[in-house]
Amino acid sequence: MHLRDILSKYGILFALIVLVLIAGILSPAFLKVENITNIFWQTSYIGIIAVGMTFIMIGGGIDLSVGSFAALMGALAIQTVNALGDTTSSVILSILITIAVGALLGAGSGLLVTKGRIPPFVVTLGAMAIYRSLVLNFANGGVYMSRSSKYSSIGMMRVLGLPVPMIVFLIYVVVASIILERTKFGRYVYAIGANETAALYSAINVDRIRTATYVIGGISVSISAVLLSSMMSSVSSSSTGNGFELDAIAAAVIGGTSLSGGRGTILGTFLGALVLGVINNMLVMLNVAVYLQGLVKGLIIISAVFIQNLRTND
Amino acid sequence: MTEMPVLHARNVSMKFGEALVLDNVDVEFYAGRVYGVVGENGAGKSTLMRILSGFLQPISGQIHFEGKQTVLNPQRAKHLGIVLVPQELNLVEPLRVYENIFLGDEPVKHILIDRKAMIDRSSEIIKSLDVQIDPAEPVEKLSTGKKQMVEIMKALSRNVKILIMDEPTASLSEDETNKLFETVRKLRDSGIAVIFVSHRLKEIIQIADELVVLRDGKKVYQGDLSNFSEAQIAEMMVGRKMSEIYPEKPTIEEKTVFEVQNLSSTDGKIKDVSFALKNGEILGFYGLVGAGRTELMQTIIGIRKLSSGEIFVDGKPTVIKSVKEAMKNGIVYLPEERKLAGLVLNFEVFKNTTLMALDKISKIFTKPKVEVERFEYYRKSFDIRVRSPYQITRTLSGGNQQKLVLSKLVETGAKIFMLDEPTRGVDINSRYQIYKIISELASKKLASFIVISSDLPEIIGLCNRVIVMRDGEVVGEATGDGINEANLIYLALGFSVSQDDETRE
Repeated sequence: MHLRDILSKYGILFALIVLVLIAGILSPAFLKVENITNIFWQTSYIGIIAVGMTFIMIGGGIDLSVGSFAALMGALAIQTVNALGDTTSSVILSILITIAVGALLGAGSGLLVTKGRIPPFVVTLGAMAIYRSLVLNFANGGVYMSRSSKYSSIGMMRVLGLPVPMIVFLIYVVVASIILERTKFGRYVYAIGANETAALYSAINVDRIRTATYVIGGISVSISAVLLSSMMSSVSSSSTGNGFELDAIAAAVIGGTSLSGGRGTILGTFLGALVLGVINNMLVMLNVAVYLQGLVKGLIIISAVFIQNLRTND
Repeated sequence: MTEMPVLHARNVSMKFGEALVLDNVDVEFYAGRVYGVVGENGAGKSTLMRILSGFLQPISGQIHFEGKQTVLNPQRAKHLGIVLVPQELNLVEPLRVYENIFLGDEPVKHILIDRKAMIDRSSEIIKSLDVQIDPAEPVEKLSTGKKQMVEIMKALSRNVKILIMDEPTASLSEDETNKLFETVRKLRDSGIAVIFVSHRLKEIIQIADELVVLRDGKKVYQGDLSNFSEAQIAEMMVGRKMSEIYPEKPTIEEKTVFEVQNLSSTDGKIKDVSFALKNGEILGFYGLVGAGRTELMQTIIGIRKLSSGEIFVDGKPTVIKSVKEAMKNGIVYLPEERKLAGLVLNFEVFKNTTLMALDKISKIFTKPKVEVERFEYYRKSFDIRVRSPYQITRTLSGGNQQKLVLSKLVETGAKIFMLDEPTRGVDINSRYQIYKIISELASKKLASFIVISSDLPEIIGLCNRVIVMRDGEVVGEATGDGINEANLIYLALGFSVSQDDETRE
């Protein structure tokens, strides 16, 4: 194998290891178990959304709405619990309702893309504006506060010493990875993204599979939104979810998912999300100005695509 | 004719990855002659042309120009006067004729481009070729034939010694072709060596002074061609007698397995088409490009909408609205564009074999082990040449890719196969194997075939019966001795209509 092949195949893992080493040398506190756990925790919200984004992108689409979508779903969960009362069953019911609505909205985007023949970029850009406007409108620009202590406790809960969002994230990665890489449905997702026409001629229901990827995207956003809003015990109508689309797409792309579809893995996205998490954490620990973090992220996305191209331009 | 060849490729070999595409080829080209270069797809024609024009470096062997050994690159070749006119013309459409002729080589006067010199010299070249082109006309307004002329003028403006033309007549009308031939003869008489690559043997016989035949990367003949018929040249190209290429035609059972009655499509591309397919039959569909053959098959498998008409499978009326429903009724279609529609090129090969028939193998989870076994079965029986089942499909040759598409279709267990140009871009050996696969399935009555092909010898050699289409309608049918070139072309042209075309010109 050439150095170039090794770089492009395991590059993301190398990048992560190198980053962790650098961070460890620059600031020994970085390698403490509590800090590593924190990185996982902070990464899980974007990570879960990025997993859904990976399905959509491999299937040949994209979803720019995830940020405001997450805010809307978080607000929905909080308002539903507030309305139903502070009981375990109402919390569970609210979460299920939120996930169901997320799946429905995802299906809506998917149908507009497939049956409506509107480019995914346009559909989800429109959805982004619509969701944000709805969130802002119902809170009158303010904050959705949870009045349920049961709901708020989920996001801060720990099981076996590990934060719940991190556990959910890890389980979600494993399940998603099995769905994408071990099932017939997953095979079809790759096929429609890599060559839609060939998939059509191979008796694959392209529209249905592609819509399903948006449903998975919607479910992912809802799960992330529940974890986030319960941890914060609130949703800010103006700021919650801002920039999520950039981070989620970045995680997928850094992990090797192709922007033109047909290529990518959940493990790659998982590592991509961690790379972003480590960088964020490093920048904070090294006292780099918050405003410059976007610059670093942008450079990393561009380099990731550059490395991908090395492989495809063979 | 001088003593020394103007261009001599000495024992040139070329490899792409593992594949040896040129094997010790030795060809000489003398000034003032037209060379017709022929060969099957994959014989190495375009590789040789790209080496001669400096776009590729051979792995061994030398190039001699006017007796001196030289290493070619595109700039050096241009400097020496070796010009390649590619099949896809390289013109800047919105620019004027003279601007295109001198593109990248503009005469300059006091820093500025000398427009007058360009126009004058363009007019001279146009005059020398005796064609009707206004040098100030934007190229996009010219016909394909005239665009071709502009490409040639580009070459002439640079003192060309060797003009290489890759399939120059592919998109020309007969008139334009004749005009081109006149020009080629003029160039030859002025001392230019013209290398003319074409798969149209009739044209090669018309224009070439000398024939070069390539087969599987080897030069199998160079020399005089005045004694050869088209069929003899074709046999040299493929290396076996024509009669050996096509297997014996299968016997047909009386039972009708598939029938279409009065089919029309909503877009008007298909008008009132009816035909029936018997068990074990190989039914050919012939017609000119745009006759509606592909559209007919797409309508049958539910990719296009039908506005009226009925489809019968085994005598039962059947409604087909999607490729999946077609497949459930035992009907599968091999699309014309293999890379675009036949295969997922970045999949491992075994995944393409099972892509249509995954339902048979798995309910929810895929079973790669079983899939690889299925692929191995076809690898053996269809002779699909791969290093491993996990090889990426993109890296396979055209012939192996096509056999892979066939494996995908056969794996569905279908009874009725509609194959659209099944051997286009496929090397001769794979072609022979594909014919054998078709013929075996048909002879054993495991399947019946509809074969769309624009390759007349293929239609004639392979099919029990041929339906000819024109403008979306069935205009004729041929069986037995009626399946011959003259008859099929006559039907496809629609004799009365062709006269109209002439008067319209």
